[in-house]
Amino acid sequence: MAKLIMTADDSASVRQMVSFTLKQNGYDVLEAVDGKDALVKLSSQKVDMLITDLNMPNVDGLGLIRGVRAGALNKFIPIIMLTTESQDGKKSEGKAAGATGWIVKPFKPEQLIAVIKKVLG
Amino acid sequence: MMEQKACDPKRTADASARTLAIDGALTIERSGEFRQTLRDALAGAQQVVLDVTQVQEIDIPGLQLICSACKTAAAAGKVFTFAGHLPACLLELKDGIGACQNSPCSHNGNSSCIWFGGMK
Amino acid sequence: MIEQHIVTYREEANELLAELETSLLELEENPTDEELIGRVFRAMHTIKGSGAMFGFDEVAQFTHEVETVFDLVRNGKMTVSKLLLNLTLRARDHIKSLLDASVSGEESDRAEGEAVIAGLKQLVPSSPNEPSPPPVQSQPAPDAEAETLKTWRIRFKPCPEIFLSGTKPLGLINELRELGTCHVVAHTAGVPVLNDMNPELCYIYWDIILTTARGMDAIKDVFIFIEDDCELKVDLIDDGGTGDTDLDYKKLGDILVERGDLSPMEIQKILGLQKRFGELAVAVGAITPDKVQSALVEQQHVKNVRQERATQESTSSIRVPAEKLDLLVNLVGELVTVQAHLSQTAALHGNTDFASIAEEVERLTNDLRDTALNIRMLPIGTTFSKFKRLVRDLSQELGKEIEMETEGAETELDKTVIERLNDPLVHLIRNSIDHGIEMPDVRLAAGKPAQGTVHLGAMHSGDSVLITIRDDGAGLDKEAIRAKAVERGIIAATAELSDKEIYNLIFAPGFSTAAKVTNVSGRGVGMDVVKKAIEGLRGSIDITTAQGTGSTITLKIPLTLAIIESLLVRIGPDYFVMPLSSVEECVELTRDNIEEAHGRHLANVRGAIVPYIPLRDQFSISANRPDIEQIVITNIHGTKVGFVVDSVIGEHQTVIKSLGRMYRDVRGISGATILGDGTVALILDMGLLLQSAEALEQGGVSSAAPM
Repeated sequence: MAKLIMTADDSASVRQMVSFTLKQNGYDVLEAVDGKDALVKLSSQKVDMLITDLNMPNVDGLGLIRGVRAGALNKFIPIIMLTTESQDGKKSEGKAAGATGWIVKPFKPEQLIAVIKKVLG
Repeated sequence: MMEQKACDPKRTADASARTLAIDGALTIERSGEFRQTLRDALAGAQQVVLDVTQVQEIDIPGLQLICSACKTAAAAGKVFTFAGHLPACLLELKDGIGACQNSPCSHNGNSSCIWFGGMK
Repeated sequence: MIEQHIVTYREEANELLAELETSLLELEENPTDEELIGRVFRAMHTIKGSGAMFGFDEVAQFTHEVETVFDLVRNGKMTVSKLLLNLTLRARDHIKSLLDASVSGEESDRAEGEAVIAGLKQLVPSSPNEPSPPPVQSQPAPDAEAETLKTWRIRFKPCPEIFLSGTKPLGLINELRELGTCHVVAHTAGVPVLNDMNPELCYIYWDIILTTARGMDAIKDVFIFIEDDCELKVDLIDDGGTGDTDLDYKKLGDILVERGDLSPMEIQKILGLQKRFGELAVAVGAITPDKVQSALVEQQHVKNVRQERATQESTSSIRVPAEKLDLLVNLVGELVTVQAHLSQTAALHGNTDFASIAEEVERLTNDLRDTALNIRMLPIGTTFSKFKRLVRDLSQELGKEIEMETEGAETELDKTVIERLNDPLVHLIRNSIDHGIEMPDVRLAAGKPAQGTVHLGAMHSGDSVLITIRDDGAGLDKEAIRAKAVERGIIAATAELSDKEIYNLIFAPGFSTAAKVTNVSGRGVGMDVVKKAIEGLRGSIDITTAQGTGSTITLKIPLTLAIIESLLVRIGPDYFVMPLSSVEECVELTRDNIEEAHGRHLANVRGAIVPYIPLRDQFSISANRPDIEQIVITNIHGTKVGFVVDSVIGEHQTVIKSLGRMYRDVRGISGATILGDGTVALILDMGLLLQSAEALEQGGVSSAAPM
């Protein structure tokens, strides 16, 4: 059974690119346009992993990560944050919120898949 | 009937044994529930036979619970074994994390672990 | 596909720019509205981030500068001013022109971009004059020390809450496995009883022994996401250097001390007890058995690594042009000849000092010969692997399902022999596929698996190598072969032939059993060509078959073409050599014996009748015939046949020289060699001699024909 991965990003182009890359590599994809949309969808849908942008309207990435970790259904899933900030500050903030790992934009599709494989185990 | 060793997988047909069947995903999401089930079972029987043949998925927390139950049983002089065969997902995880390399268990008289060792 | 992302990005960027414009204009009205500031920031953040993803580097770099300023505004370190808004609107227009330029391919107005950035920088309060870092590529730097295999001990102890961040240790361990050879030991001793357990925490830690060509950085990269959430200890325990030739690794106690599992004092105490260390350490309660087990795994791992390295070093090789080797073998051949001369001369002089030197030289020469010939030996496996492709392609072409198995690929043969074996083997394999293996439906109907098997094997047998090509196909059809042979005029319709003789007919010139000529088995080239090629290698070919279950073709090939063990014989003044591999024994032939046989060339060897060929007649040697001649009994393709010579001189190391083009077609002579005293001896091709003798017999009296 293919693993289901959610991509939460307010940028349609990034969502499309992530989605496309995931599907090419045999994953199923669930898209969310921002943190709020993601939280609503994740409250009723079990996924295997979440890839989220940090800067999003409504609920931002950190809020989304905290929300997922506080919930029940997807509490233990790996969460990867997409960030343009390569500074440690953002990373540790995300980690503290409960992120599993990160990937720094811009990234190549291969890099994304490598990180997914790493955290999906 | 009582002369068997602490963990003898062949003695699963014992009448006093309580069989506990688990199916589906034995993962962290259900770990709290599984821990309680194991505790209750061990509290109420001299021998508990765990049937995981129908388990489709298991992770490290799931494996830890089985290990913990085995130790709990050993500490109380009880028997904790499994019925039938171990499912592929468990064998895979055990090999994957190197649990098989580590068969002697200090909680069980340094004997070989029937779950992760000796059962190649 | 990437094109499609770019189009989406442009649309998205244009929407964002429109939104940015609206937000900026609104911000002019409400310069402190945080919601608006956030929107402006996010719009630029997305334009930048996605721009970098899809190759809009100029857009990304420029937007980054503007975003940096708005980050300050967002964090309250700067206020929104009229000037800032003006500059930002100009920036927005510039981003738009950069995007448009990327479509039209025109140059964008670089000066405008620089002006905007310069203006923005002046606005930044006490602007720290460092340039903002460009987006960093998160690619791990290539390892500098990516050459030698080193062995590392990794102790990975995740913090108990590791599962709560979605981290899966198995994934990390598997990633380590991808780096090299890996032994993983999980320590489960820390798992508490159920009552004391929080099932969502991690109680296990790991020792991992990893041998990899990648460095420390590659190992640490595996744990990059959790470097703050685990105890990670990476120690180099074998540096891959050749200094550690000692296969034995550290003592168990030393490993445990290094790992911090035991203190040196405890070790001393345990050692005082004089028993096996591991058992003792556990027995005195100093340590749990899992830790000992894990240290033992390390010991074994490093021992294996060192062993492998030692083997690798001993098999490390240098490349030498083949001609140099050929030259070397030729020189050794000359040396063997000279050495024979030396030995002969020494024997003649009867000087013991001289004789002992000659003996010494003989021994060294023999060693040198064996070594030199050995250098030219190559495993036949390289040829085998070529055939896998052949089988695959051919079976596809014919619509058959065929698997190829190989065995004994490591069997060594002289390089030139391997080269000359290639074509015959190709032909034999083609034959097996084309004529042997049936179509899948036929196979199923016969109760066989749809997939046929062609088995290619090689093994040593004395001074020869046996190569077998076995298929599980239909086998040879005796009647079909016979019918075809009659049709082709190869045998008479009334000929009485044994099964073996019938099967051997497929080696007759111009024979083909295929109902139609396919691309695969080719045209015109038959098994006769294969047979000739094998005999050219002084080898033989044999076929066994069972109808319905398959055929096996066995090639017997001498190890080398350069030097053979042989028997030296003499007829009149002339010397000849026979390959020793086919010689069985020598018996006397007296005039009485000849008379008893009534002129027929048959000898009675301990009750068995053995036909013989008088070589004297064969080569028309006119010198006087001695009263007692010698018959050298040989075994040629399973047939016993004798060759009559004047006298047998003895065993001889024969360095084979070709006869040259002039004598290429002489039948019965396969080459020549030079004896110690410089005399030339001819090498007999006994198979061909037998054939021509048979042909002669069939023309005349038929009774004595062997086979």
